[in-house]
Amino acid sequence: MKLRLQGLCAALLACGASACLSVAYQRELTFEPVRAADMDTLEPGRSTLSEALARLGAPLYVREGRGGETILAYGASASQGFGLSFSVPLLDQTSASFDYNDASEKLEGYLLFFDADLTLKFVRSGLLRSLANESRPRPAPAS
Amino acid sequence: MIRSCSLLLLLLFAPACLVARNTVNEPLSGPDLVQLKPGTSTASDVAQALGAPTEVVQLGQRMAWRYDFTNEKTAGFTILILTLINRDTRADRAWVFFDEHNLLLFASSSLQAANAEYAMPWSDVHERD
Repeated sequence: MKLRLQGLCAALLACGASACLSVAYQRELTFEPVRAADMDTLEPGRSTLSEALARLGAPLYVREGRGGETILAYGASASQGFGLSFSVPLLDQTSASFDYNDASEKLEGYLLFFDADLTLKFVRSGLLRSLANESRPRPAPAS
Repeated sequence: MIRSCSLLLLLLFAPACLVARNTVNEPLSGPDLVQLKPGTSTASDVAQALGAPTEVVQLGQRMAWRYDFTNEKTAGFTILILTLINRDTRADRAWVFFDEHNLLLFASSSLQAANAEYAMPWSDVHERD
């Protein structure tokens, strides 16, 4: 009887531990990817910004390039993985927000560069975080 | 006593589910976007129809405004210390481009926020589109 009660207590303790120790498998899907077939219809030197908007829809970002180009960025991300965490919550504070600038760190897709006449110069694929190196620095947001 | 303790233990082992939805800004209105006419509408017309943009980007003499609505749906469940979570984020987005005279050059929109789904990590979401 004593042993049974001890086992019960241990099980209850283990259940309580779940509040501070957790193993999480998380998948995050952010935005819808651009179809490669739609990208293939655009030709550098011929396609215009108007055509790109019509075929690919609204971009995630629009920036001015360092050489005065107009850059459109399209992207999405799909990530998944296991994580282990141990925490003792002292104060919980959450806020609802979505930051487009933070999101670009993980997004993968295409950067489309247009010249001054808004004709497609070239397309670059990869992580959208490279957009920060390609575009002119932007003024800091007013606080 | 033992019976009620066993019942309590069973309840603790039962999986806990979570469902959450997080939105940012207001959904974009298709009819409001359709009424914008390139070559005719001005920046003032766009501001009246859609309100203040989320972002303004200067492109030399031109400029572009962004409007967006983000819809994030999270679903998951926990069994003891194992938690499975899926987060699906999609957005309505519109960009309007103006020339140096603040006349609308192009308008483009993608309305995908409604496609966000509550799903488990192993289920197809984007792949199904």
